[in-house]
Amino acid sequence: MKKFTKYEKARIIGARALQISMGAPVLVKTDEMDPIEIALLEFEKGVIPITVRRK
Amino acid sequence: MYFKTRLINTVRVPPDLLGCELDLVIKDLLCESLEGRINKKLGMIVVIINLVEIGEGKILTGDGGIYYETTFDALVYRPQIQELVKGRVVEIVNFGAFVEIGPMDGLVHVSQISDDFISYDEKNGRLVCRESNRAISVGDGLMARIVAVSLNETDPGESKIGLTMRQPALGKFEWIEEDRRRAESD
Amino acid sequence: MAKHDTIRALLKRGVSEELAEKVADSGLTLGDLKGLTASELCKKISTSEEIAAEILQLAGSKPKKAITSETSLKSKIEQLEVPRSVKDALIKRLSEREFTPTQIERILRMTIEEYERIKIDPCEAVGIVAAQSIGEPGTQMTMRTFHYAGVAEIYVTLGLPRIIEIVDARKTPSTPMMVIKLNEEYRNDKTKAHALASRIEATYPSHLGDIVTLPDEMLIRIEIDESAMEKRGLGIDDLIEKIKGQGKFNADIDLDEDGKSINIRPKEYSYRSLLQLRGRLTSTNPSSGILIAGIKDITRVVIRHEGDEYTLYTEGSALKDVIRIEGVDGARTRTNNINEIENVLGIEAARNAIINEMVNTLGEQGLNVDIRHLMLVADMMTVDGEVKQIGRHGIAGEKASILSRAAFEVTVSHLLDASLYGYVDELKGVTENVIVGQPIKLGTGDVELVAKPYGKVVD
Repeated sequence: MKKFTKYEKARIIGARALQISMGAPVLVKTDEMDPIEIALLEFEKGVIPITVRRK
Repeated sequence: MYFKTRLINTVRVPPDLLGCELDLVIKDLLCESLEGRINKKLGMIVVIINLVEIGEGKILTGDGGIYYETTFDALVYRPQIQELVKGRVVEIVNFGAFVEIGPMDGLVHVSQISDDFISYDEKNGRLVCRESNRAISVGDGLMARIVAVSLNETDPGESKIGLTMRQPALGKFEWIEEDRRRAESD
Repeated sequence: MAKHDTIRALLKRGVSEELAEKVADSGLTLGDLKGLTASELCKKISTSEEIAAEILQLAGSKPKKAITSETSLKSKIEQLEVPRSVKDALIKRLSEREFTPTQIERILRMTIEEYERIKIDPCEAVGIVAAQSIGEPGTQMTMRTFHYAGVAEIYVTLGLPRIIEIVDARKTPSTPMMVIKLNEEYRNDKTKAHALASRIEATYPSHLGDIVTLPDEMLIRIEIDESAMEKRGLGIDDLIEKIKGQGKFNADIDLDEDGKSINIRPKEYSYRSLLQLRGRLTSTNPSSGILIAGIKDITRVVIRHEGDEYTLYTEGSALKDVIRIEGVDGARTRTNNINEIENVLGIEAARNAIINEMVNTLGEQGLNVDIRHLMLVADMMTVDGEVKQIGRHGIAGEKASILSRAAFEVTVSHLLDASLYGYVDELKGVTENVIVGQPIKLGTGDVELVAKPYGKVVD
């Protein structure tokens, strides 16, 4: 997996947390309710369905 | 006239639909947002036939949705001036007859039905020619020519198509048949 | 301790670090290994028989002395994607001691990891960080503004005024100066250094003797100071020649009967012309004075014995002329006039001069700004191949965006012009994006997200 810069990481987790808060299905099994925490967990596992396009 | 056209449109897939089959979701969303819509250049989009290509999904700041630029084939109906149309009368009013000509309705104004003087028979819901005693009522099939088109994008119901039957070989199918026979016997 | 020795011994024989640790952990020593068969060993350390056999074979071999040859180490380091300085440091430090291949692998891996960690991420607002990093120490400098600190009796502008001078890319600094280093032949020889100094220093008639005005005789007399003449290696004839050659005035110039003074008599018999003449002769101003010897722009030279060599400090700067003089070591000679460096030595030299001047000015005030901030400033000032100032007429002045210009002044006329001529604003800068309410193209604002196919749920 390619390494993300800190800004890319922030955007990915932020965008994913917003998706989750708006009802997107979660891709990890967890009891966590906070969308940001869930997004962080998903990021650690590398399952967030978002990537970046570099110029 | 109907056309098969290749179109490109951006579709917003809301987050709660993520995880479902993307093609189906996008097709559904396209149908929902475009079918029955009118575009001044294209005419009315009747049906989305199939998806050709789904582009890269873009995510914008402050929105959980994903935007896909989608290429698809659609069937569109574009009424053209001078076009001959077959249709069926759906409503008779005192100023003319509304004719269904596919996905849209056109109006044959009383002045455009025949060279005769036309009177409105309110009781029977008919428009009657004074001299020849010909009449049209709801359900009659007829042939007309489009003479005016005014499409309304924001409110498709307000679009207006003007028709005429005051030309040879136009009018109710029965009249055309009568005229042909008479011409033959002469 | 014994365990540690076993690991080291195995490593020296070429066993991998992981396996060596396993062997040592199971309590075995090198001696024990010699009495074991492969199948016995593989049970003890729970590996396959082939690996055990390999360990035994290696353990039986002689320890390798030079584990990695110098050349292969160098070529390995050369392949790394790190800057030159890091490579050089690695080569130097790694060849000081002996390392096993695994140790070297690890050192190199860690070096790369650390280098990657320390790198600035793309989209970082480096300009803002540099501005703050220079600006904050700048506020501390303001208290000591307009102080002049002496460098060997020569006064030089330092502190904030000097920093402003540098970033404004002034054509000439308010106090130009040079540090002239000498060639091997000259640098240890006091008399040669002095001779050189007098050849560089601008010399005017008043430096070579007293100028006396005798109004009743309508005469100006230069009473020559022989020691001053000798110091500069000038003869009295040279002096007359120079005055005649450069003076261009309407006067008779003769040697006095005593041979020690020069008499100058205006051809026109009036006090006014006498006074005018006197003015010219006594002037030490580069524009009006009569230069007898030296370089016009260098008004004063001071010789200092520094370390083990003589160095010349000058007031005034003329790099082009100075480095051409026999005895001057051009490679080590410096000037604080950046514009001159740009013209004489080129843009790269100017860039280095900007960095050095800023580091020195800040360092002299006891302020420590990371050199990379200053390098960024210097790079921005010189990217186009000429030194540009930081300000309206330089790097900040090229703002193409109509919106940001309109936000600054005369809004309506800017917008009117833009609409008349059909200008396009590409919304690349910060100001424009703030105006239209978009995220700015910096940091997280410059990341373009793209959706990937939705995967399966994982544990």
